[in-house]
Amino acid sequence: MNPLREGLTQERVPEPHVMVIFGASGDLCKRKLLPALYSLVRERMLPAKFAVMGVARNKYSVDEFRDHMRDGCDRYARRKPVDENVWQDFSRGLYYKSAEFDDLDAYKQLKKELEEIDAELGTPANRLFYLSTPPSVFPMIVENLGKAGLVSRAHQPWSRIIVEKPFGRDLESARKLNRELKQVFREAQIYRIDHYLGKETVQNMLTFRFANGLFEPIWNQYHVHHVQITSAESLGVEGRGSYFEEAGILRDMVQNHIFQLLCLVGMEAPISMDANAIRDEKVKFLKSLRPLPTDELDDYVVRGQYVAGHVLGESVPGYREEPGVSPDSTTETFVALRLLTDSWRWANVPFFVRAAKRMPKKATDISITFRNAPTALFRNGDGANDVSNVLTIRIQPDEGISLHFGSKVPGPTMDVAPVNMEFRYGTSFGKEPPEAYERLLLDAMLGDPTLFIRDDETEASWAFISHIHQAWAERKERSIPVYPAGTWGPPEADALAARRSAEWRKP
Amino acid sequence: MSLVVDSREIANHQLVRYSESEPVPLPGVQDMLSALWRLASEQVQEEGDAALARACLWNLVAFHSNPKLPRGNSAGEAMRIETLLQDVSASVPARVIHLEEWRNEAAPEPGKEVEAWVTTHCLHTGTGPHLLCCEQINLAGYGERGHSHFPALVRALLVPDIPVGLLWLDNVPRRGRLLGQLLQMADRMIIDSQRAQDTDSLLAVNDLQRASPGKVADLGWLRLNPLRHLIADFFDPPGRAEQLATLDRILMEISPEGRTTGYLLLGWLLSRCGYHDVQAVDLGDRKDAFRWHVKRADGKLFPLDIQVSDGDGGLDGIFCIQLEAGGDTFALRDVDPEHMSVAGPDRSLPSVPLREATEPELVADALGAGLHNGVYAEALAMAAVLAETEQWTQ
Repeated sequence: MNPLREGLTQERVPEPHVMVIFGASGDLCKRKLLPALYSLVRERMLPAKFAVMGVARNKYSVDEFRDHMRDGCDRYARRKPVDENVWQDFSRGLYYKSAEFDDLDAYKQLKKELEEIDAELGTPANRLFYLSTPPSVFPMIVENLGKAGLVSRAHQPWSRIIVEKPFGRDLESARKLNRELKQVFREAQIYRIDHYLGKETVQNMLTFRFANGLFEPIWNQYHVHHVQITSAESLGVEGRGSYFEEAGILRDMVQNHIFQLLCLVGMEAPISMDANAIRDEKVKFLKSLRPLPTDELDDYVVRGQYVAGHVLGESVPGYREEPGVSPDSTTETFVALRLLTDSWRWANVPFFVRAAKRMPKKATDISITFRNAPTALFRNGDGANDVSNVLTIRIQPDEGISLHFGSKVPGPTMDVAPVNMEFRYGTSFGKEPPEAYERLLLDAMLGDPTLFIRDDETEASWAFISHIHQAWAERKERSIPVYPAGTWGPPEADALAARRSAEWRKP
Repeated sequence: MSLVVDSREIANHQLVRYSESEPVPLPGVQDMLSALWRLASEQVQEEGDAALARACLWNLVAFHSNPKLPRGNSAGEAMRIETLLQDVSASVPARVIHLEEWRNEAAPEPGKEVEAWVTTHCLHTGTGPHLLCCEQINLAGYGERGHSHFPALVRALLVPDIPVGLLWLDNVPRRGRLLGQLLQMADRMIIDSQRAQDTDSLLAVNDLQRASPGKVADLGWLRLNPLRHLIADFFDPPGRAEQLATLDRILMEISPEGRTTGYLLLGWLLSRCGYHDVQAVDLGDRKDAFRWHVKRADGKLFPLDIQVSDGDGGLDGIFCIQLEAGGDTFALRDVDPEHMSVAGPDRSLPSVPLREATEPELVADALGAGLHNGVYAEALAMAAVLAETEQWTQ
């Protein structure tokens, strides 16, 4: 333990290690991973003895790889311009190896090269592997890492692996992937990454709920009318038509990002801030979700697909006209769910969840609508007390929290008007938050899995989602409801909420 | 009421200031602020701009005295403080209560020992449809007794249920009635030990810290953060931290302005490494060099040297620090105001960025969480020991 670290912003620095990124020539590496690593180096949060080995099929030389990554940092780093001295220091530790992922000899060669780097830097054989590849090659890479002797299951030197989503495409494939990963790594060595969990506002959910005495006592069925979670994208499939055809929005957004948000809203207080204590509570919440009855699925799930429309002043094509998309596709680009849980806290409180492409704007938020006052003392002109108290947690953009409540309008009458009380992240702290990947990469290097997803979490969420996919597959429908791009979804979704006296928010 | 509107830029955002040009009667300060809000809101709406959002996380009571200058001769200093307060409240929304003591200035009218002005600042943050607005009350106290009104006025003007920060813009405060009364209201007291140009002042900072444990946030200490990080970096690799217990020498080069900051950095280093036994060495009449002998756990003494040189040592006043242990040398040296060279057994870099925080950024940090005052208290206590033992040799 370095006594000089006590009281500094970062009290622990990761141990010396080499990070090995598979799929290093890809977009994620260039746009997110390397800029995040550069920022960590710039903030002096990484150890002096640290190197990155990029592995991919592309035939780059080490210099070409460094140039490619420099371009990524120039364009996407949080702090620009890139500091030349920091870059020189960082880039000296960037290596590249061109390899086919199924070539075992290449892994054996990789092992030798990593040992040479260890010898040169004087680092122990600590390894952080990052799978930034298509999921189809995850098992192959993991198996070859094991066969080539690149993985230590011991605590020292350590090996860890970060796995990008999707973790399978249904319950069966998720279980299979978990089995394959665990043949080589222990569960404690596996870091399933969901970048939503690296966002400050998402982490703030825990603080907001459990560091304040005000909200938790009313965070239950006695006071909450319903909960809404919206994740809206103004973009379409952006050239990823063929991927999206296989995925759909339910797999792409709901099973991972939205279910994580759902857990943070609905879970019980953990017994400590220990990683497993938090993840235990998330799993318990996921397991409390009531399975949807197949014969009444429409009362719980609405899917939709966008047709041509206008988004932010631009005319955009319909989903079926996108490249790589079948002209008679029934893949959903919108989904709305009404979820119920079998828990005392949330009995009969509906959780309305919505995710979609080509909405009027990009917005992700969580809102808690509280029950109205029991009697309407202050009647407006139409005889109703129409002010609901709504607590909204904005995840992106304009991160913050607002509370909507009724206030008397100044004047001789007792008219009530809705007003907002606002907390805005950007203006309250005056500090630039780190990028989600910076936080998550650093946590994995430090061996802190709190913000990563455990095997039973992925399986619990897939168990729920796969049930919906199975029901849809059995129906063999040739068309699904549509909505014009730039609107808030099909009317069926409005009806889904209205049947439970709720209305979708317009974020 | 005559509304004055002006604006300036802060970090690429436009700050608009709405103020009442005439002094406000003291009982009417709160009403005048409300009126100012209404006027500002109407003006913003007329211009078709965003809605006003008032924000307040802290009460920030800023004090400075002008013992010598008449009011009209201090425009530069007044402007610096005004800008500082605006910049701070732009990053940490606060109700600022600015206390100006004009001891040598007669009251404008008999019996009018305090005057008040009110202002609201609105920042276009670019992150949403709102203008983020804060308010500032300036209170000027005239003559020998003007300042005696401050505590009661502050009590009346604090926004309830939010913390109070006391920003002391003068030299390090010595104990006194005004300080005591203001400190009683404060949750945090912000001082700048770098203003302590002599060792007595450093001892006064230590006294203040001990009298209000956990309350003091020292800008001089926060200013050292980047340097502390760089020094700590040397001792992260396996086996290096152990070398801290067996140092053979510490050498620091500072500018004349960097003396207290230098003592604080050395105090931190010694206290964190468990060195508590130091003896000053008499170097005769030299004013540009100071030496102590520090006792290690194994009984061996090692020298700690401070060399004072002319030149620009940056905001912290420190040119260079060098540690030696077991034949290894760990050195940081200023390359230019924003870069330092790093030379150690595990890593040597000709230049790493070392951005020293500006004063508004430091004050914003001082109002933030995680001050880790235990580490500061120990560092300051050790710095005070260095200062005291040095005094004894003179």
